[in-house]
Amino acid sequence: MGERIVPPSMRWKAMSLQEYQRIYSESVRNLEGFWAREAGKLKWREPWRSVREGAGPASSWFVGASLSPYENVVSKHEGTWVWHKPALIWENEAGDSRIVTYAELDSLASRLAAGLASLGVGRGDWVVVYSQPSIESVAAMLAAVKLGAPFEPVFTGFSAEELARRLARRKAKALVTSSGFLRRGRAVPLAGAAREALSRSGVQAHLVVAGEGAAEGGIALDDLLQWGSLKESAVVSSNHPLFGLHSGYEGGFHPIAHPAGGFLVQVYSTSQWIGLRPRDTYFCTVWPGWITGVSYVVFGPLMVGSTVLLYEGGPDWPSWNRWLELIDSYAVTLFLTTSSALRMMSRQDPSALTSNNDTLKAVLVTAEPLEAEVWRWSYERLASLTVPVVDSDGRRAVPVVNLYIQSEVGTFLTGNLVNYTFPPVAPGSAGPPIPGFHLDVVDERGASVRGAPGRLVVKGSWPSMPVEAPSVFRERWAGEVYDTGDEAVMLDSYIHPLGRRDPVLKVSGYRLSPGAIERAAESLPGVRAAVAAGLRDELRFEVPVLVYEGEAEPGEVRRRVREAVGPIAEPQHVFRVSSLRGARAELRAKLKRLLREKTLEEAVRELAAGQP
Amino acid sequence: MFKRQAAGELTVPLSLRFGRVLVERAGYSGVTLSLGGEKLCIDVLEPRGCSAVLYSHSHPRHAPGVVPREALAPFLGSVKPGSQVDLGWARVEAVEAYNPWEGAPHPKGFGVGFLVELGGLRVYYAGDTSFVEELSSLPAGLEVAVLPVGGGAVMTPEEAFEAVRTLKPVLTLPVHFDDEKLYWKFKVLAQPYTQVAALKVR
Repeated sequence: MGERIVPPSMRWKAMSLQEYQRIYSESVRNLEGFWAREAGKLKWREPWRSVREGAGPASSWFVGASLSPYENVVSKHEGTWVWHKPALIWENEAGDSRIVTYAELDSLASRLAAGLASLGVGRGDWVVVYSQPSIESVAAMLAAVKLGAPFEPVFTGFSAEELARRLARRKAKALVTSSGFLRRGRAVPLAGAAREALSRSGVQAHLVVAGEGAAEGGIALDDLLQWGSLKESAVVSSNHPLFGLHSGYEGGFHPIAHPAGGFLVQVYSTSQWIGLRPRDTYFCTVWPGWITGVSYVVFGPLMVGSTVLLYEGGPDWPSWNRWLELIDSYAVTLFLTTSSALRMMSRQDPSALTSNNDTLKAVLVTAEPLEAEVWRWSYERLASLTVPVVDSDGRRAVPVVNLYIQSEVGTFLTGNLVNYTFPPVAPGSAGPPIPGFHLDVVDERGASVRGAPGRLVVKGSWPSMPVEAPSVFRERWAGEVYDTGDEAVMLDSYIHPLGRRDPVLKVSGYRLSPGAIERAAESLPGVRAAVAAGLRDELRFEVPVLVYEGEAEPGEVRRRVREAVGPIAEPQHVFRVSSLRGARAELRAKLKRLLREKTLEEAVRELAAGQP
Repeated sequence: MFKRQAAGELTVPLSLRFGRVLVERAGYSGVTLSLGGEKLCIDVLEPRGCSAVLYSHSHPRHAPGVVPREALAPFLGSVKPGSQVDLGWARVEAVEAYNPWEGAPHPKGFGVGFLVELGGLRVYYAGDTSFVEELSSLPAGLEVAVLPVGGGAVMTPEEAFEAVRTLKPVLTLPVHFDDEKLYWKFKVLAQPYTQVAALKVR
């Protein structure tokens, strides 16, 4: 058994592993009963006739029920003290900040909803949002929710080509973007990429642009606010699509969509469990565009009534102290970030990290494994509150909690829960499974394994079962068992994720498709075949490696991938080989295996040597 | 041990927009409140581009040696606690600000605080004051409170926290402190009851 830690701030709330196991076992013994109880926390217009119908990937939850998602996220707070407290605080790199209360956010979202309606956007139409985190972008997503229009946020690290694919697949009715933002001191223009994407997509969508100089080729977001305010919020069936993302699979990025009812049940409960309360000021560094950023920026914290801090800018500008400065400036109480960011911070000169974090009650970590040594650094430097505040009793420590999430599940599904099940923390793990998610680690035959690597699976469906998913998602199911595609070790109830079992890449917490990278490279005339896989990296968990056959120069290939997929997918290492033949899936698997077992150069040599 | 911010590094935030009002700090304790093309300057030592200038009292960290003739200030006789001035785009009311002990640096009647209404916001600028009983008669649930937290001749972090509990402002901007630890103490106490924002001087 590894180290087990109860942070001093949790000494009254922590439970024994046995107590955790009792609560957890009860929840998974009757998943439907458990989630039906949680669903009782939402406001429903029509009750469900059955909690769940269908099996495996065809499961459908809260069947027959209807609800107003907007009411459950925003307008439920009207008439309470939450209505006049800050909903969003936004700050940019230049130090300009802005605060909107829940009442003001509602007013903005309702006027935007009226504006989008005036453009013809209605129930079931897709709205794509391509923007940095901003008050307007969150309001645009909420406006879509109010209209019953599903939305898809697209990360600004994706290229115009990737954005165009998403616009076309969604047959988007509107694209909301911004004129641009500052990142690492430089302007990042977005409206141009958005315009290019629209013309490439062939979709006749309205372009709505927030910010200065917005109107060129589109409608200024401010002009859309002149159409009055939409009073009514759409009431939709439980399985109406609420939002969607493109998730990285081996062959490419494929669209998924989450259902309104089941998703809101899951995200509301898990948001409370991870520690959010109405009086919290919460800073999540993951941008909407990734599942953590949608679930735990746009929906969960607002449902709870917390204040959400949005930061548009680079994490390391002018130094890695920037996020800590924000925590200090706004007395942030809950901080959610990625393992990669903590790894980077832990490598900085300690004297450069200057802020005081003593309002924090927990540090939450997402997106990938958090190694024990990085956990320890975070616990000692971010969570130990070593600054002796006037009259303080010296050292206190709050939990650092790693949580596991997957786009298809929609919310966290493992982790110590500050406001629910909190057994001792096991550094290096992603905590135990969250009640309501029946997780197991199994071998190839499906038998449970403990203390050794195996497939991380979910037994039984979850309320936010995607209402739209690619065939590869359905193929991951064997009866009632869903294979997450991740490898993990389970020990004493704690899950230790090890990374992807399939060739999908995890780069700085982002799930990237090798197929999309390969296709981008092969779109260059001088590349005949390409194969991509992830190489373990000390800081970013994995970095893309690309091997190709053709006359193109490696620099050209790298640029092409950056242009076609986006900066986040740019290969760190590019190798030209004389021949690259064979089935693509086999080549990927082989490259991935060789990268694990050999040095980079040996791996590429061996891949090339195995060629006919 | 975390170190204090090295001089010259960017510290944030520098300005804050709440509704239609832009709030910025100016100097040790001063703030400016901008609405449209108008700017209200409170305890600003070099008041440039101000539509109206207010001073809470005559101490050198709050008012320059020579003040604009049209300024509203108790030491000019233009305001005293209870005075109300309508600027058209903002309404200003002077309120009590003092230390309730003998020989205090800010005896009763020496200075004032301000309650400002503009752009739909109510802003309380406390001035140099202790937590005094008159604070209880200010409107609770106002939008912004600018509170001194430095102790000594003004509120300590604990007193400022009491002011937060009394006034329940949506947003509180701490000012008037030399040692950052005083801010840290204040934010730990006050954060559940208000949104704290440590605006820096531009």
